[in-house]
Amino acid sequence: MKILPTRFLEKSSTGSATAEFVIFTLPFFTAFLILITAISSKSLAISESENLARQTVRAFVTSPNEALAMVRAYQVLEIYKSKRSPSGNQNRPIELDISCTFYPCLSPGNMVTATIIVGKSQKAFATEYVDLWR
Amino acid sequence: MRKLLLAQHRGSVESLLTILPQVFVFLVMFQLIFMQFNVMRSTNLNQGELAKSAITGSGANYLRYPLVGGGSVLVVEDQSDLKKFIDFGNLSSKKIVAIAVDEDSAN
Repeated sequence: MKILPTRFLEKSSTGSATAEFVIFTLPFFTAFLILITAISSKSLAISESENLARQTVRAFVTSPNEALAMVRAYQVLEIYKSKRSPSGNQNRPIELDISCTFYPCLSPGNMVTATIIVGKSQKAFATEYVDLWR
Repeated sequence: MRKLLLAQHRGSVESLLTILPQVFVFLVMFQLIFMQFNVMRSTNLNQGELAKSAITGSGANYLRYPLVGGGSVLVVEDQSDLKKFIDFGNLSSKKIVAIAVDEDSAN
């Protein structure tokens, strides 16, 4: 026998609202809270890593010579780290890796890529070309 | 459906006791989303403003650190209280750091 949906909804049923709250609502909201926190930290890590990758590669390619290029990139990173909270530095360490299409890196027209890794999983890349007329 | 909407339902103190925490928890969630949105908004706006300053050399609300080999690093450190629509008496602060490279040593 088929029961109409309206009939089903109208039907009174016994139950404890407190039990339903504890069993269904609290776990749902807890999961939602964890989700919001995860989205928040992930979006901040994405924004942070992408910007840092852009700035470090910019500092690298605008270096006057090969010897200072890496120092400049790391200097940008260290300045940024010094502004973060100690807990932020401990929980989400930042690593930098610079790679070039060919070496020496600061050859005209060379493609330089900076990779920033924030924490365990967040990775961002930024690429710039060395000035052709340098 | 009309019958269902017009039907009389009985409530109890128990249902009131569970509705109140549910509304509270829901508002806390909403507050968190609102706060997160504000942090992201400030992060992007500050970064945009600083990047513009690095290009034009204008603006004054930043710290300038000299970069080896020429140029400088511009940093904006913004620490302020978060806007909240539900205030539980606790202040929530946010710290936003924006950074940009200004390769022009003349700026």
